[in-house]
Amino acid sequence: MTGTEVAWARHPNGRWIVGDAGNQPSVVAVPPVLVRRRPDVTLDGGRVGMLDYRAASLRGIGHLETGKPRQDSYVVTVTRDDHWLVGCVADGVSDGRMSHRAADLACEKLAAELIDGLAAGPEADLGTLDWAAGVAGVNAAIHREFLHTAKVEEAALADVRALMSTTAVAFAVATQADADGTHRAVIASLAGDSAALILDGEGWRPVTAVKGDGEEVASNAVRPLPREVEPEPVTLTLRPGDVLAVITDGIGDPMGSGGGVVGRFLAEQWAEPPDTIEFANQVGFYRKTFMDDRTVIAVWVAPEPT
Amino acid sequence: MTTSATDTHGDDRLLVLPFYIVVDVSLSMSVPQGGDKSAIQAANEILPTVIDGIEASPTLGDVVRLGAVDFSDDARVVLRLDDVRNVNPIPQFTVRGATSYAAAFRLLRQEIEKDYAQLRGDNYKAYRPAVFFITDGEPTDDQSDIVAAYNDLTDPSFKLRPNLIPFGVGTATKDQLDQWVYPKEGSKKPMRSYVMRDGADPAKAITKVAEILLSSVIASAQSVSEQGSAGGFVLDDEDLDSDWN
Repeated sequence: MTGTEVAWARHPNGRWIVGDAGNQPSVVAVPPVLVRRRPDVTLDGGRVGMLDYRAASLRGIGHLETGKPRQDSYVVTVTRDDHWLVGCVADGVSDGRMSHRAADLACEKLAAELIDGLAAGPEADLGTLDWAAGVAGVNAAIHREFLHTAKVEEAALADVRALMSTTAVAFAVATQADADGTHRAVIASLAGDSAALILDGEGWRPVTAVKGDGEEVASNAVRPLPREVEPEPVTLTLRPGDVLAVITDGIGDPMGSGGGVVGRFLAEQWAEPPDTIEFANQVGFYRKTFMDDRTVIAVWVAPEPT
Repeated sequence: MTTSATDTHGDDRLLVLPFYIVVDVSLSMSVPQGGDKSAIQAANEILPTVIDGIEASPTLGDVVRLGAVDFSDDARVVLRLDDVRNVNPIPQFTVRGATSYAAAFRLLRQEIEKDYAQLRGDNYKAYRPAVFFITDGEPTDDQSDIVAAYNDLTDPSFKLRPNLIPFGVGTATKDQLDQWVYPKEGSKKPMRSYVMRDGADPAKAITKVAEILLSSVIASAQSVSEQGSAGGFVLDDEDLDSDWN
């Protein structure tokens, strides 16, 4: 069986199988231990201006089987004037028992920082957003919660990371087109290898570095927040009909740079904005050996009227 | 975007985590040391125990690949790296002759290269392997020969260099075995050796190897699909009792 020949189909239980499901359909979910009130799935969808968005975060099969909570998180929201769709996805690092909270805090702080930075609405300059302040805000928030949780007075960031740390990718997209018909956007991968891809008529195209791209041997090493980092935001323009997907590596690992069967599956499913609940099902496909939490925020730019 | 056939192939790769069990089958391993069982009898229970454990979880078998090598005067492949659900019957270790660590290290490098080429061909992306190396000490080859073979196996330019975890029973000492650990103390994710404490029964101690191996398999399989600093293999000896130092 080679990659180009396998396709996708529904399992009798309704889930999608992409390629080989392995034994994933037989996994019995057990509740997360010691973490209450954290949903296995969160889901959002809506339309603002010329954009449709869908967002889903799913507890991975590995965590379902072993009683660990979903450690991924996201925020998707709009600025006060509705001119910008703002979002963040974060992947709490599995080693840390409180990493799901680090992921939540990173998304909340980065979204809040973006909303403030984009207060000028259509006039906002994506080149002057204060990402350093965003990172500082995330670091401080995680640090503060660590002190509270561990009941200590002070702690080094390295000690904080042992209990709670996370990757984060934050973005903003203009909900209205500029005069040339394109939508301004900015994406910053602040830690780790969470990624963003764009789907257009040609297929998927990575915007940020693809984890493990070109590497012969697999590796999971990341440099998570809280940490001093110098963000390298990417500004870009989205065209009518483009789809932007901002993802954690639970979806990025099976997807790679988008050229394989998972990329083709999602490109077909996401040719148009799907029903929001079905979107979660599309993100939760079975695929042998890929068991991590999965989070995607997908943004559709309305096609040009025909 | 246009993608070449190879790009597409690369994006479709599944993840696997290879483990190798390497067992000293020198004659001394067949002599019971106080208990009813010899070390080699105990070593022969490792594969069935680990395979049973992997099969007890729906998803472990999807990710884990297990291989086994023995060594005496020479080294031989006992179980070619495989999905444990394909292993039938489970092969046995049988004693013969002397104790060449160099032969074991050299065969390991060969097998790892061969197995990873096969995995790539089968469209898998593999993490670096972990090697559980069980010996009763007293290698019979030249120290310089062992060092050369070890250096070749763990050469930083060898992308598939394994995590190497020696387990010593019988006359093996901590000093002797620590030199065959990889990566060593001081590296980012150091491994360690385990040496049976004086007076413990080697057969009983080896039974514990299966437990450490299985819990490491489980911890590693978790990490394979998750963000973490561990990068694949995770050594898990939380339940280790006092038979080992």
